[in-house]
Amino acid sequence: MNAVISLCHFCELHGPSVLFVTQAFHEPDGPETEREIEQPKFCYGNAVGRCRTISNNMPVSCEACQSLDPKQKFLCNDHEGRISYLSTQQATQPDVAALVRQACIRSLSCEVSPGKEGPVFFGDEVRGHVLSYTFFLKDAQARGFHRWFSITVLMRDKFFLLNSWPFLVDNIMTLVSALQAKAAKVYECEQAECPQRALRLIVAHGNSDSKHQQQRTSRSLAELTADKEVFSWLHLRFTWLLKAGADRLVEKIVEGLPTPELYNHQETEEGFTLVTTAKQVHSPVLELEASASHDASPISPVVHNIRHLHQILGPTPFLSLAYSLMVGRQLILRGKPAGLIASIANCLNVLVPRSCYQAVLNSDQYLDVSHCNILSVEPQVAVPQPSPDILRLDVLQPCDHAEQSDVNKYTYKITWGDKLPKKCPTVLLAMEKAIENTKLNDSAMHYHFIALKQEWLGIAKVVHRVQQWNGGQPQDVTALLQAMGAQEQDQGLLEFWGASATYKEH
Amino acid sequence: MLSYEQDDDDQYNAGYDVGSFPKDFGYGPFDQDGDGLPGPLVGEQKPRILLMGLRRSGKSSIQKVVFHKMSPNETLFLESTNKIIKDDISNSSFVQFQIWDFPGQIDFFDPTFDSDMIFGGCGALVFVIDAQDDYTDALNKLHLTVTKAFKVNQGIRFEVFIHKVDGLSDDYKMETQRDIHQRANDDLADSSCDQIHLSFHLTSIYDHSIFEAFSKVVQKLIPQLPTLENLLNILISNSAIEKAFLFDVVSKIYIATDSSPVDMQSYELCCDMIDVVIDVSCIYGLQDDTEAAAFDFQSSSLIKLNNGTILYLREVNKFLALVCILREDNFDRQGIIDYNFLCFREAIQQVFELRNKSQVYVALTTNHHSNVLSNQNTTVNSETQNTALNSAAVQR
Repeated sequence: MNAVISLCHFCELHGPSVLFVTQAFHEPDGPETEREIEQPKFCYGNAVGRCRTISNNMPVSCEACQSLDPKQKFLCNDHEGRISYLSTQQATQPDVAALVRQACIRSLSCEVSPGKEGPVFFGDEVRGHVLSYTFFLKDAQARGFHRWFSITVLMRDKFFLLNSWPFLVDNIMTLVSALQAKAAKVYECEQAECPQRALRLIVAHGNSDSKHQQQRTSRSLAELTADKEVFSWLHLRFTWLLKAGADRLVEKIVEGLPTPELYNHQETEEGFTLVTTAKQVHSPVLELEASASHDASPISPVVHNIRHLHQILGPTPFLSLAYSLMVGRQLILRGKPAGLIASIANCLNVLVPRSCYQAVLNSDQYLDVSHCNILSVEPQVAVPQPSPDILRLDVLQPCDHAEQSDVNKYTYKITWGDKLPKKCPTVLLAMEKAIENTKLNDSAMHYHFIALKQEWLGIAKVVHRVQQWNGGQPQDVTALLQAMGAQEQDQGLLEFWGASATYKEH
Repeated sequence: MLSYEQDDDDQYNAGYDVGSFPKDFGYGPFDQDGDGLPGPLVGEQKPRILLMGLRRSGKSSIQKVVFHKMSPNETLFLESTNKIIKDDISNSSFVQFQIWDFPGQIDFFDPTFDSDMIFGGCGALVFVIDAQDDYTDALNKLHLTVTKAFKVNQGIRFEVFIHKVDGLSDDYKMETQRDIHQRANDDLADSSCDQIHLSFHLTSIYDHSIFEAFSKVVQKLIPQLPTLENLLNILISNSAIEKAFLFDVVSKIYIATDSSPVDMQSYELCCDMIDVVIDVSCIYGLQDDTEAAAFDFQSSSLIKLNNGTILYLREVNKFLALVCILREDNFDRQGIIDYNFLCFREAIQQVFELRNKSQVYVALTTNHHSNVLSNQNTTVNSETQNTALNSAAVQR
């Protein structure tokens, strides 16, 4: 969970102060990381390294305002998720520390939860959204016999935070009651030994010398709960909150054609529609390769990326393939081995928005366009004859077995009942240019494609909306298209993208 | 960071907008006189008294003892204040204001707080200094607070309570006051803020000094004070009363007295008398209706002391009582005193009727506040003086 959890308290001497902060650090992931074999590291996201950037110029504070030694830290690693959970007294980066500090002041000195103890939500886009849980711990030596504490969860994402509310509040509540139980035990022991109420009355009415002796600094949390390990315990609890909170809700964009297993109209307790975010429909390439490895080909051929595909197909066949995919024709990839076919299908992924990419791989029968727009089949499967709506790519294996590992030796044959229009859609031409531009490296091209797709998807959505509103007035749409920089040749593409992006609203 | 008060008030101002209500959809005819304008408008004029000072100087204790009848010993067990506590005491008491009790640990001049909001609508700032402690830090803080608040709002009256003086000997008290007075004013002079005026009071929650000091603070916020004093002067001179206080019954602070000097003992005596009256009528006065106030329009009391002095209490309105001290010899013509009192009460009512009217008026034409009010006061003056003169005629 991308959040900062902190424990704050209201110090008798210093006012609201931050005691203990737990943060999650993610390993930054580029588009290439999946291929690398991941080694467990000492920490991820350079969690420990960043600590040094903050100078320790905190004013000398009392025992109650301190949790860990400035040099002491608690670290937990999630090697699978490549996340580090780090606990320190102050947040490690200065900007985060400032936000946490503001949240702390607000949670203890401004916001009021009905009934004093309990959760409250506040914040905004600039200062982050905060869920704060305020509570008392008994302290025989404190004014009023208790001290104010609060646990704050600071997050940038308001919706995530509010959706996690029941989970967070329940778990913080258990954590707080555990702390309170410990503190109550200590309090009762102390009161049995020496009742503070009576003592204070005597002191107040005695001479003024004894009054000054009474001024002690307030005690630390470890002392209040009689638990030396209270902060390491808190670290574990906070880490668990961050980890479990992240696992609880996974964000997925559910745009485009909803698959039946995605929507089965179940309702959660809170009244939301339950959406099962199953993994991507196509099975991973590696798995397919494993199954194909029985064919005794030691190194199975793979098309690495779209550039590679462009190179092996040649410019014109590639354009036909890309064009028919972009305007919503069905692609049938037929041939062997399955790994090669799947890799071709995967490469095409970058050309269209997610909602326009419905692939079924390694199917044993023909499925029509309502199920998928990319279909890969074995050579023996019967498929319809190529028509304007269906483009077929046959991959023929070379006769020589030795050459089977080289993708360039395969024969690629495109059959299509239509031909390329004179002018290809603007976005396709831009993409082709990028592919041919050798100065652009793969990852730059990847981001370039994302930007292009976003731009055109936006146009497609607007056009689609407008068309829905005023059905059958073409001149309006033409003017709109012009205004948005689209031309006649883009219309087919816009129609397809717009329709698939808004499909779920029907 | 915005302090939450801002959000609060903004919302409420917006929510209580007159335009959003039908004209007759007010807050009940509490202190209305049939004008049909809703009550919250009157509330907006409420002056605000801020209680500031270092931590542990006794701010919350003062607020609790004066306005919540907490016993001074109980204040030992108060928790430290962690946020601004706003205490609106206008619905139980005549004095219409809010007390804001600040946590001493937090610096409210920090840019994350909206100091315009905090000090803008403020009538008086009470700075509490613990006299039993070393007050060097407190004086620095006082200087900072006063200069910064003055920058925001030049209309604030600054009151310094030299607090917890109950443990000090009289000589030491005077010495402390002189020292603090000297140093605070020197600091102000050094930073060329001479135009800021500080008033100093020696206070303690264990005696009546805190009530007296607070009375003086509150009096400065009552624009009708000269009229009230004038009325009291006329009353005592015509009824041969030695001293008269106009009390706010709930808080026991006096909102006006005649111009003769206030003797602490007589003030304490009057305070105690109010306690007696309220306690007795609480215990014996109420039959089954426990909701009704112990103090009503029939409340009056007469206590004869063995030194030939009489304490005489009469109800003026729901929140106010007149308490007089007079020689027993002068009480033989009680009828005249009662008649004079009736005239006095009528005059007071006239003054405050005008206040209500003028507040409604002020709410409509905000800029001419002081002008309108003083004009009206002068007219009332002449009227009430006439009634008082009538009563004087009866006495002769």
